[in-house]
Amino acid sequence: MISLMKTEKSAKDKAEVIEVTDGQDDPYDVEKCAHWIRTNALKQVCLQFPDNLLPNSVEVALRLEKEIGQKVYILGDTTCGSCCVDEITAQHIDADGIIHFGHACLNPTARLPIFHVLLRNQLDTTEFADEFKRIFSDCTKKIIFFYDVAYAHKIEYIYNILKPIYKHLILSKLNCTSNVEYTDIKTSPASVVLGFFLGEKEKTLALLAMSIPVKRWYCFANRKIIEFEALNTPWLKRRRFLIEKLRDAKVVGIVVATLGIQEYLTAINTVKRILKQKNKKSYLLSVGKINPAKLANFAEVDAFVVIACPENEVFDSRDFFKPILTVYEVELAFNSAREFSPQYFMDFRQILPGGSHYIDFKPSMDSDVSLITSNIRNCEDNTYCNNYYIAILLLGTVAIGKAGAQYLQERSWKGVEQRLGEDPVQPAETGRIGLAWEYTNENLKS
Amino acid sequence: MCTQIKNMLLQVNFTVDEIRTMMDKKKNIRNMSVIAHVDHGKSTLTDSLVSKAGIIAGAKAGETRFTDTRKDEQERCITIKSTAISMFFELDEKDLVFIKNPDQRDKDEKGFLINLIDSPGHVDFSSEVTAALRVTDGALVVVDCVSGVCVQTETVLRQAIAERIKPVLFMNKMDRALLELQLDSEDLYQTFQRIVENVNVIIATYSDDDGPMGEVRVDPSKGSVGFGSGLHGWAFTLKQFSEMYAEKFKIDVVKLMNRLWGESFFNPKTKKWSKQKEPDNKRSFCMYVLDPIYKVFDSIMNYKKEEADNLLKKLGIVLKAEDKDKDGKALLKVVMRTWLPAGEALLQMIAIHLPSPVTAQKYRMEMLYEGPLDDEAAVGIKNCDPNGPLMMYVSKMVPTSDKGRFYAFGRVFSGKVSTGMKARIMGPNFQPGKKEDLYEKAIQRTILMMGRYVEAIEDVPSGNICGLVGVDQFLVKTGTITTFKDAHNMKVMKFSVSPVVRVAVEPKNPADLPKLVEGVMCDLIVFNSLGLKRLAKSDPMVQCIIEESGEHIIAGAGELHLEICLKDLEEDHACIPIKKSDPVVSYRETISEQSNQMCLSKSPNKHNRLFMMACPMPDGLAEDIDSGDVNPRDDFKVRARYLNEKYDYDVTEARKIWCFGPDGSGPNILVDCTKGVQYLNEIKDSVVAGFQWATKEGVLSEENLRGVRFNIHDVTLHADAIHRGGGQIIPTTRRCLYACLLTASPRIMEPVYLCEIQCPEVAVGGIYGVLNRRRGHVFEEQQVAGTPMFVVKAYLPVNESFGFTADLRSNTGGQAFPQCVFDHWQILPGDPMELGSRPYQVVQDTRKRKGLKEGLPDLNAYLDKL
Repeated sequence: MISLMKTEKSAKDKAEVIEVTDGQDDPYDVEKCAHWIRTNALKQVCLQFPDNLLPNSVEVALRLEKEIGQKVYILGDTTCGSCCVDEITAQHIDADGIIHFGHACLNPTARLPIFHVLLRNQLDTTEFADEFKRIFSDCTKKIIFFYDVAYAHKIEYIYNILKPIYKHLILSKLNCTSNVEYTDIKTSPASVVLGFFLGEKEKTLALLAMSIPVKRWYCFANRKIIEFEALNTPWLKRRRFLIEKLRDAKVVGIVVATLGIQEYLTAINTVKRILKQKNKKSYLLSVGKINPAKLANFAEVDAFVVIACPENEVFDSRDFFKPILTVYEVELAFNSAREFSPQYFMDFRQILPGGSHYIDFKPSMDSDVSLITSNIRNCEDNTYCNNYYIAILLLGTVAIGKAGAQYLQERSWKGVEQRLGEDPVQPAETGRIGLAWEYTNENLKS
Repeated sequence: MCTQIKNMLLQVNFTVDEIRTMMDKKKNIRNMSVIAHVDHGKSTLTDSLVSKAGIIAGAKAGETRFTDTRKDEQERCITIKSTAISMFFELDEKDLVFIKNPDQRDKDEKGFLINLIDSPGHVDFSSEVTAALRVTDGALVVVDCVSGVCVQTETVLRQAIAERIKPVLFMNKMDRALLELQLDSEDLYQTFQRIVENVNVIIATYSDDDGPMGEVRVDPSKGSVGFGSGLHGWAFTLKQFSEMYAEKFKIDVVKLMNRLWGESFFNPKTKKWSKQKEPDNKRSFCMYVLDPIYKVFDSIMNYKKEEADNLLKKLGIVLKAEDKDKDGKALLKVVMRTWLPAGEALLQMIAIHLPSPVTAQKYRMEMLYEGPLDDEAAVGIKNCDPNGPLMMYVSKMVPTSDKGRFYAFGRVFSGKVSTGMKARIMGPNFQPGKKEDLYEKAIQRTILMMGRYVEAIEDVPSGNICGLVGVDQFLVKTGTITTFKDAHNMKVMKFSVSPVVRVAVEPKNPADLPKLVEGVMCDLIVFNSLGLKRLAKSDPMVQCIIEESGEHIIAGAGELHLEICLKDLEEDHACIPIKKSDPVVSYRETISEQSNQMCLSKSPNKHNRLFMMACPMPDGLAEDIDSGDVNPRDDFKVRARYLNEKYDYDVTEARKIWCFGPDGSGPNILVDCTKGVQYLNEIKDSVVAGFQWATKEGVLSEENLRGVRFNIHDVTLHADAIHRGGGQIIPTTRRCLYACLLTASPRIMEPVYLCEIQCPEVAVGGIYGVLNRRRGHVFEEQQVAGTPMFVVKAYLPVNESFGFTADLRSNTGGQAFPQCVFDHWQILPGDPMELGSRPYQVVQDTRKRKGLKEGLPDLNAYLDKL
């Protein structure tokens, strides 16, 4: 359900993040938006709202239309998660710019100029500074400082308080090319001792903490600074199991769940190439918004690799029939050149060629034992064939041995069967009448 | 160590070439295992045989434990892995006449090749025994004559008979009976008699004399029972004594053997034999067999020098010069060993009474081969034909000195296996006509395995045991190797124990982030990919798995087994320090009643509706499915009849069992009880997939289900196929099954051990105390006839068994020894849906461990209303 509402109109090449100073009352920054549209001279602008802000969307749109004197469009029910900018939907009306409201993952996009209006959480800066000083009493420690996008409006102010006290504080800045390339200062992560995140323990923190190796992570939650365990989480442990599942898989589905993030095509090709080298059959799927029912339609697929925004919640769900994996996990499973490291890269751009953690692919060719089925898993192409298979072929069965065809063979119902004379003849009966939702002659209540 | 033994080997009376020549004389081969209860002296006795074959110097026999090749085995004095050795030995002309069956000996060959496998006695390592039995045809059952037939004796003997392995019996530790217990000769006879009877009772329970193996029971008067002391290195059968007296009495040796056992008495005054005890006569066994031994013991141990010298002269024992100065126990050993050398008696017993591969494979073939009993492979096995197609069964993997590589150890049943030959390597999942688990590869090398030492050999013909190099890449634990393209698998081994004790392992330092970051990065990956996988190979029983939660689980048969596995993992396979969790018991989810309502779940598009109910299986059905008596491959009509007769299932319904689960064979079933539902056949695969999913991950804590029958009562499907695809049906089936479970009073099941404890009477009280504290309950208590020992049998939840052995020992002054074997699953009393109950706690703990949301599943999430 894509809702495009016509309202009114202004361009620049790059996405911009609004960082507002204290004391502004309008949470939607209509004025700034209008300014951005005007300076970029955009004609067709889309406003993208997450589900929880949709009720206010009309009001915002009307105000903006009034301000700039041209129609704007509202995008709701985004295809791949509300943190990502939905460029594809915007292309329905040939948009030349998108204003994104609410929490954003800030993944760089390929096509349109983007303007982000971020959430603005309230924060008592003095109280926070005191708490910060209480926890980090040693001012000489190297601390790397991150913040949730919802605190972006306060960050300058906080920096100004902390900077004079902490000599080795490394401050991060929102960056629209990558939210993981944290600073302009290229400090070797190993030399950083502590990590701090201003914000709740949520997905954003977990992703950061997994990809940046520092000794200890802290976060600010419920007005207290607490330690955050990034490694050894049940989630991360479960991934090990899913990776093992992927190694066992014969057929893998590559699900495209973003059409916006830069380099998603490279990611698809990389995954495809790896799977081919490992002699696994792969299918490329695009199903729009992913849900268990859609993926369960592909019952012959043993595992799915989803190319999506790292904050996508499909990686947390346990409702899927088959495991859902990330691009990095494909590398972990099959790239023998990749040594184990405690870092975990949910953002696939980091491990693609040119990324900060790219490693050339080297398939492991040794046979090994599956830790799930306890069977031998031999990746070497076993082109063993004898008269058997040819015989079966002649009997009319197609292509035995290929994973997909083998699955079809094992099914009890294969689709086109005539069953002539196999079923007893029965007199015709009156069928069901009405809607499939509840047929009129179906008595569900009994 | 190896070179030392190699040197010794070269000096001794047989060489590899000689063995290879012997391998072709298949009638003169004996493949045998030594089996017994723990600590009854198998390895020590085996030494006597090895010393006879010349590998160990005679004097050292009884102290070396040649077959205990591992350091920890030597230290603990317990066998952990079974070990094979090949021995060559010649029988005297006078003994050869005892072998009457033409299949048991080549006409003009006096030599015998004995392939012996020494196996562990501790119940935790029973899987090693199973693997040993598979590749052998005969078994030397060792029984400590002081403690008698024990739990494990019975278990292994039962297994042997089931595999059609012919037993001979050896009464060990006679030295203890004489020196420590000071039994008089009649009492000792009675003890022997009782043990023979006990053994024969077990044999008779599992086979009968008219069976394909012929007479299986052991009989001292036939020479199939040996007596002696492995530790002191002496042994005899009635044949030895018969031979000594035969000339004096002028009776045939065989006839005399009959008279030396049982109710046979001799009156020295009247020189008359009698069948009854009379005042003047004496039991012949006591008089002619035991008395001389008693006299030797008495004279030497009581330092009656003169008497002893006289005796020695009479018995014709000539001592070596260096032994003459010895006295007491040392002298006794030398004398007995010279008089009744153990190796001699044992080897005669083995050669005469145990079957050759030619004899054995005739009746074992049908038990060994899965395929049609008249195909080339079957005929090859039956005839033990070295020119038939190769059929070899690999029963276990033996670690090599090269880390991570293994020898595949097994038996050639037909044809010849040779270095460099191309063969089909088929794993346990291979099915004829399919490619899964099938590899065609060259055999890198064939080898002969002798205890700690291996020797390359060009080829090995049928009837022999050998090792293969290079096959380990294609097999995990066991498999079949063949050259016959239509060959089926050899039957997989059935273990008597199950891996129910589990621990989660982790490298010690995963959280030690900086250390990992600074470059010591390999720990985890080495650990994950190599260590566990190597361990999985090296032990026939251990399971190394990664759970849904991501924990690495090692599952073994018992605490000792796990301890050894973890040690191996840490020191040999992964080579990093390892942290292990407390033992984790895996539970099962089940239900106690029928669903209290018809459960309806709608598909996501609301256009398809499933109506199902769950009910518990009748007692015994889950076990029948476990044991394979009821299985998915049965003909559905036969299965329905069986279910109808035994469990009173409706025949029409029982014919419509859609599937078993989890994994297509588990103890839960899905039954189609619908009538005339359109398109039902089209969604069957989707429903089955949902069923497999739900039975694998139950609703309470994602543990496997057990003993649940699901009935599909009605299904409404959308007329358009696109709206009833897998995506609509699979998740809906799972939801519906979950609703069925939640409405049927779900329960948690825990595994329970059958625990047998041997102890003196005074300790029985202590046992009860310990068992009570651990929710165990005793169901049998019995005195072992003729001994002051008691056997207590009890059921003990596995969850309560950790530290049980230590607890028991401290409460009984170290006098009680338990042996625990997994027995059954039992419902943990209490309602898991009730806050604060024990099963509730179990569910919550499991959920927490698996990273699931804490709390209870909500029925409304699965059940749809209208």
